[in-house]
Amino acid sequence: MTNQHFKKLFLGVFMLVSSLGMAQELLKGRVIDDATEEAIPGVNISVIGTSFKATTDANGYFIVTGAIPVGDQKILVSFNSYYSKTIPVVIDLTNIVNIDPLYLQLDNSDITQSQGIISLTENELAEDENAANNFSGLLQSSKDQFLRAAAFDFSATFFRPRGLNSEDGKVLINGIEMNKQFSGRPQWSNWGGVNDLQRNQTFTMGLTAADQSFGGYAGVQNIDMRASQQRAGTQISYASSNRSYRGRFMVSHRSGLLNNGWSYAINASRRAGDEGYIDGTLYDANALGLSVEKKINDAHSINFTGLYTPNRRGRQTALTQEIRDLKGRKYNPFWGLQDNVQRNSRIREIEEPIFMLNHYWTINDKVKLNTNVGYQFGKIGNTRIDNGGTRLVETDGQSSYIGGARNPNPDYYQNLPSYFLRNGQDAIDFQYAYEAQQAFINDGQLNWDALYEGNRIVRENGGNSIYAIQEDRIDDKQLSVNTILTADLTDNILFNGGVRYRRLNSENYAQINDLLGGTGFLDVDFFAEETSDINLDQAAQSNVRTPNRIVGVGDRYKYNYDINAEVAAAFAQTQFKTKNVDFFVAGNVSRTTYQRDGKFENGNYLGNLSFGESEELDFTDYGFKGGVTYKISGQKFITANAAYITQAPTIRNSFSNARQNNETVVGLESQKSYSGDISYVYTTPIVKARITGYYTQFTNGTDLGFYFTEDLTGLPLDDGSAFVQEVLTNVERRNAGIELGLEVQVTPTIKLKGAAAVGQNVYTNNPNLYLTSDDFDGQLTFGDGTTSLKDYHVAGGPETALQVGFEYRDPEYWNVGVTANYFANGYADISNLRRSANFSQDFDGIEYNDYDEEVANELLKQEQFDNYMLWNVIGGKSWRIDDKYVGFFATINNVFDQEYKTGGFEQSRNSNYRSTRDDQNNPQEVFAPRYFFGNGTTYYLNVYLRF
Amino acid sequence: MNLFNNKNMRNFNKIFAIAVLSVITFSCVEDDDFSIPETAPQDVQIEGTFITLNALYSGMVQDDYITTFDSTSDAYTVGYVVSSDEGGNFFEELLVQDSPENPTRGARVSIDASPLFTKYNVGRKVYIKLAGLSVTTNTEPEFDNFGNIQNSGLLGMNIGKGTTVGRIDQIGAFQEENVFVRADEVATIVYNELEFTDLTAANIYTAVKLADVQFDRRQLDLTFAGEASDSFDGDRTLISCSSNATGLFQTSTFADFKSLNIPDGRGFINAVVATDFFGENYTLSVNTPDNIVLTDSNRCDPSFLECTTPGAGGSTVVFDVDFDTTVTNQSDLDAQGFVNENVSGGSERYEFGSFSNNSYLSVNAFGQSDDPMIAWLVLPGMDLDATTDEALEFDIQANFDAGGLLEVFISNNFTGDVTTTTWSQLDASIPAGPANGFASSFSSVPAINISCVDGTDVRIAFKYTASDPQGTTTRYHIDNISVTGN
Repeated sequence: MTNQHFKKLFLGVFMLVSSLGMAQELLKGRVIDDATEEAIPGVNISVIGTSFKATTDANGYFIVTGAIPVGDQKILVSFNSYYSKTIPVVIDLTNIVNIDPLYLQLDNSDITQSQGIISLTENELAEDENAANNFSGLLQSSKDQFLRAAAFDFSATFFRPRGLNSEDGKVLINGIEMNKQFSGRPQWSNWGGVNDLQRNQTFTMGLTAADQSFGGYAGVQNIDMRASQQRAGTQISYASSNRSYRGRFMVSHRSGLLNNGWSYAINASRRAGDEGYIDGTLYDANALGLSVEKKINDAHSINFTGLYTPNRRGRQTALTQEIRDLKGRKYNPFWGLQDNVQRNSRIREIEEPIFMLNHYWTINDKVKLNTNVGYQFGKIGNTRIDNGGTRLVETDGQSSYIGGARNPNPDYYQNLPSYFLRNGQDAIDFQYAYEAQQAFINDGQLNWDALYEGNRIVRENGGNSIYAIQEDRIDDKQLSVNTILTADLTDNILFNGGVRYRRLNSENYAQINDLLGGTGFLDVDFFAEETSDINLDQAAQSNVRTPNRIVGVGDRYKYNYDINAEVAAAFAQTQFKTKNVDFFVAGNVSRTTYQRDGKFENGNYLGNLSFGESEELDFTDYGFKGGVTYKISGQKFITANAAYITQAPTIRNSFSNARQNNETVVGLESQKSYSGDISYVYTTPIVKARITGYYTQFTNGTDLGFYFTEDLTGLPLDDGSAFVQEVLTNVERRNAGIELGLEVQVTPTIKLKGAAAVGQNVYTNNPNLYLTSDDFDGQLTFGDGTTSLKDYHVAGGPETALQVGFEYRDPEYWNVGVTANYFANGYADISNLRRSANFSQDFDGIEYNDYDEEVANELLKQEQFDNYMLWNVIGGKSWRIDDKYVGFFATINNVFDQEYKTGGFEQSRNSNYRSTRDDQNNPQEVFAPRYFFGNGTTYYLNVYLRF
Repeated sequence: MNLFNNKNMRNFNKIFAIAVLSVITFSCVEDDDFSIPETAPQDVQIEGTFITLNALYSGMVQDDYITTFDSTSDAYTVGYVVSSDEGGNFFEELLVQDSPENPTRGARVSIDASPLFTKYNVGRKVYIKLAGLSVTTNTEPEFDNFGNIQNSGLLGMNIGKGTTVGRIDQIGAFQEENVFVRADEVATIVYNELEFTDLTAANIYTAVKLADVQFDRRQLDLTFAGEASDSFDGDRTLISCSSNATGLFQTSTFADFKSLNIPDGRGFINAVVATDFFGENYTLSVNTPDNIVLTDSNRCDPSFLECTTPGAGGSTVVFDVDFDTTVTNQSDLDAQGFVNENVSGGSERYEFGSFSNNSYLSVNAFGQSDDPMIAWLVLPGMDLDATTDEALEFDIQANFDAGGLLEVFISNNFTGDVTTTTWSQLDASIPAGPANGFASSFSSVPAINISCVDGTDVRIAFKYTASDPQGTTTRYHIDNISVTGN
C-alpha cells in the first residue's frame, strides 16, 4: 500500500504553481491518515536543512511559505504516533509542489507501549519521594533513542536521567503547568487512565527551547488534550497485567473536527486489581476525561478539558534484608485479613479533578496567543493506624492520659528475630529468636482482630478507641491562569513569551477514618512529655482551644493548617535559525510566596508560634538559558546548552515542622544551579546517534527529614531520644556524565539499538544540619553545624545504565523486540545525622573514649547495590478488518526474574558511633537499612479495537 | 472525509452501551466499608489437670521453691486479672488472683507481650496452661542456720520460664496463645479492706482496698514518679490514719500518670499488692489514677507546733552538745540533767557510740523483745526567755532503716516523768536510711523553729518507737544537738 501512495506523491510533485513576492508558496499539501482517510491536523512539515516549516491546519492543509532554495530538497513529515516520512521534492520557482494527499501511517506500538509506561509511573511506593521522582512519564513521547530507553527500559529501576528529579522537569496540559507546588513534582495520577486523549505530546529534551514554558533541566512535556487535535475514532481496549493493577478497561471516542466547528473527545477507563506484584496492594481507579472545543472562526477557538481520575491504592514499604530473607520481596506488612478479606491499613486515595478552559487565538499567520484558565480541587489522603488512643483520667484537677498501645505493625523491630539476639546470645535468646522467626514466617501480617478486640474491651469500660485509622489529608484548591504568545518575528526568528499566575490554598489535616469498633478517639498526643515550662496537660494538646476533645469519623484532629501560596512568573524566549547555526536565548522571572495559617494551637507552641499566620516567605527567582546548534551538515550537528537558574524552595522544604508550628527553615534560600551540556548528533535514515556530555551543579538546596532517633549529643544522658525534624540547608550537589543513544536500521525490518548512561551524582560540600523537636527548645546542632556529606553519592537509581537490543517490525504488522539492560552504581541513601559530629560525640560533646577512626570509616561507608541485568521483551500484532484495527501488544519485563534493589536508606535511629557499631556487631542488625526491591517478572498485555 | 454525524452518534451509543456493560461486569476490588468483626472470646472448655493457685503455691514450697512443668504436662490454673498495663504501671506482667472476691492467693505471670489490657482486662477470667513453665518465688528465700525460712511473708508466686529459684524469665512473646486462654467471663473485682500491718504472703499479687490512708505530708510536693531522683520506680509513703502504719506506694517511671502530683487528701485506694525489687517490702500500686480516691481534705496528720514568730536561729548559743567533749558517757548525761529512759518495760535506751573519732548517741530496738520499744532522751532544761528567734538543729544518721520512728517533742512544763508531761510535737524531718546497712554519713535535719515556746525550763525530747518482733526497727545515731537564737 505504501508503494502505491509513494508513486502518487511523485506524480503530485510535478504539479506546479508559480508565485512571486514575499508570500511565495512553493510547497503545500494535505496530510491524511491512511487508514481512516481523515485529515490530520498539527502535523509538522519541515524542509530538511533549512528553517522553512509549516503545520497542517484543522483540515490537514499546509503551506510552506518563504524562499525555499530551489532544487532537490527533502521534506520531513512527522507527527506524534505516526511513522515519520521523508519525501524528496524538487523546488521550482514556476511550479508549486502540492502533495495532496500525503498519507501517514499510524504507529500502533507507540500507543500501546506508552500505555505500559504510564502504568509504571503510577506505581508509587510508600515513600512519596521515590515515587514521583520517576519522571519517565515525561519521556514517553520522545523520539530520541536514549530517552526512549530511559522511559521504557530503565525506569523500572528508578534510573534518573542526568541524575535529575521530576521537579526538574515541567509537565503541562494544554499549556498549564501541572507540577505541584508542594513538592515541585507532577502528580501523575491526576491524569492517569485517560491515555487515549493524551496522544499528542511534545517533549523538549533538557534545556532546549520549549514553546510554552521556560522549563527546567529535565525538559518540558506538553500534553495537548484539545478536542480538535485528537485523532478521530473510537477505541476500546482491555489490558491485563500483574504489576500494579490487574485489569484495565478503556473506552474512548474522539470526534475530530466536525463540520459545525465543534469537536469533542471522551475517554473513560477503569483500572482495578486486588493485588499487584507486591502483596496486598489493591488498586481501584476510575478515570473520565472530556474535551469539548468550539472553533468560533478561523482565528478563535475555545476548548474545555475536564479530568476526573479518582484512584485508590494499597501501599507498600521498604524492607530490611532480614525481613526480605524471611518473607520474600513481595512482602507487605501493611495488610492483614479481616473476615477473610485482605485489608491494607495504608491506603492512598487521590481525587483531584481538573477543569480548564483554553482559548486559542490566531491573531495573524505569524502571531498566536493562547490563554488558559485552570482550576483544580480535591483531596489526597493517606491512611495509617493511629495506636495512640487514650482516655482522660482527672485526678485532683490534673489530667493524665491512660492508654496507648505499641506499634501494631507486624514488621515492628521488636517482633523480629534480630531483636531477641541483640543483648547477648544465650540459649534462651536463640529460643526467643527462633519463635519470633517462625511466627513471622508463618504469619507476619497485621492482626485486625486484635485491634478491634482491644477497642471493644476498652469501649465496654467507657473508654475511647486505642486504635483508629487516621487519614493524612491534603486538600488543595488551585487556580492557574496563563497566557502564551508565539510570534514569528521574521522567517528566522521565533519568539515565545508568557506570563502565568497560580494561587493555591492547601488544607492539611489529619482526620479519623475508622474508629475500629470504638466510640470516639481522644485528640491528645500520647507521646507528649512534660518539660520544665509546659506541663503534660498542655503539651499533649493538639489544640489548646479545644482541649481533650473526643473526635469521631470525619473530624479533623492532631494537626490542622492551611498553606497559601502564590506564584507569578513570566518567561521570554527567542529562537534564531540560520543556515548553519540555530541558537536561542530564554529567561524567566518569578515571585513565589508561601504562608502557613495554623488552625490548631499546639500545646507545645502557644500563640502565634503555631496558631494563625506565619511569617510570609517571599522568593524572587530568575533564570537564563541559551543554546547553540551548529549544523555541520544535514546529518551531523553539535548542540550546546547552558543555563543558570534559581528556584524557590518547595512548600515541603520551607516549613520545618508544619504539623506543629509556624516555624520556617532557618537559612532558607532559593536553590541556585547552573548547567551545561554538549551533544553530537548524527542522523541518517539508517543510523541515528546522539552522544551528550552534561554537567549540572546545584547549590543552596534544602532538604527535610522526619524520624525518631536516640542518644543525641547535647541532650541529657538518660533522655537522649526524640522524634526530630532534620533540616539540611546549603546543600550542594553535582551531576555529571555522558549519555549515548544509538539506533541502526540494519534492514528495513530490523533495528538494532543501544543506549548508555554513565554518570556520577555526588554531594560537593558539607551542608548545614540542625534538628528541632517538641522534646527540646530551639535548634540542636553538632560540632560546627555541618554534616560531612561531601563526595557521598546522591541516592536514587543506578548511575550507570547500558542497553543493547533489537526490534523487528514485520511488514505484516507484527513486531517483536528484546533488550538487555545492565545497571550499576546504585547507592543507598545515607543517614545525614550519622555524618555529623553527633556520631563521634557522647551526650556531653566529648568524643567517645572508644572511638576508633578506622572502624568509624567502615561504619560510615555508603552502601553500593549489586550490579544486575534485566531483560525485557515486547511484541505485538495488529490486523486491519475493513476500516477497523484490532491488535494486541504485550511486554514482559525482567524476563529472568532478577532480584534487584531500586533504592534504600540507612535508618537514623542509631545516630552515633557506639549504637551503630554495637548494632552492626549483632548477629543481625536491628535497625538495618531498608530497601525497595524491584519487581520480578511482570507482564502487560493490551488488546484493542479501533474504528 | 469526516464521519457523518449520525454515524458518529450511533457509534457513540454503541460504545456507551459496551462501556456501561463492561464496567458493571468488571471485577470489583474490595471497597472501603469493613464491618466490625466478632472478636469477643467464646466460652471455652479446657481439658487437663486443674491446679488452684493455692495448690500451686504449696507445691512450689514443697518443691524447694521451684516447680517446673514438663512441656507435655496438661496442668493449668485459673486466675482473675487484677493488674492492667493500660496506665503503663505494669509492663509485660499479668497479676491474677484465684477469685474475684475474697482471694486467697495471687500470682504474677511474666510474659514478653504488650499491651495486655487489650485482651486480658481487669476482672477477666484467664486459664493459664502450665506446660513448659516454671513456678518460683519472686525473691530468694532466706534461711537461718537451722534451715528455717525467714522471709516467708514476702514470698510471692511468679509463673514464667527458668530454672533458678527466686528468678523468673519471661515467657516468650510468641508463646502467648499457648499459655493464656481467655474465658468469656469478666467478673467485678471486689477490693477488700486491709491494713498495712495485716499484709501476708497470701495477699501478694491480689487486689486490696486501703481504707483511710493518706500520703506522707512530706511528700505532697512530689509527683508519683516524675522526679529526677526516681529511677525505675517512684516510691512514696502511705500512712494509715487508723494504725499510723506506713505502706510503700510504688509507681513505675513509665506510667502514663507519673507526672501527676500526689493527691493531698485522705480516703481510700484500690491497689494491687506486690513486692519491691529486692523482695524486702510489700508494695502497693494502682492500675490507673482513678483508683485513688483521696478526696477528704481533713488529713490525719499529727498536730505539730508551728511557730509563726521568726525562728531561724542566731549567734547566741542556748544549748549545744556534740557528745565528744563535755558529755561523753552516761554519767555525764545524768550529771548534766539529761533523762535517758526506756518506758516500754525493756532495758535498752540511748547509748554512746563512736566512729572515726566522732561520738554520738545511738538508739536501736534490734534484739529487744519489747513490742514496741519506746525510749526517751530528754535534754536538760533551757532558758528560752532570754533569747528570741530560737531554732533547734541536730544531725541524724539513719541505719538499718526498717520503719522505726524517731520523733521530737518540746515542753515547758516537764513534770519529771515523760509519760505524764504534756508534750508538743515538733515537725522534724528525720531522714530515711538504707534498709540493710549504715548510711554513709550524718544528715543535718533542717532547723526547727521553736521561738514561740516560752519558759526558763524548756525541755526538748527525742522519742524512739520501734519493734524488733514486728521487724520495724531503725538504728538512729544522733549528734550535734544545738539550740541557737538572738
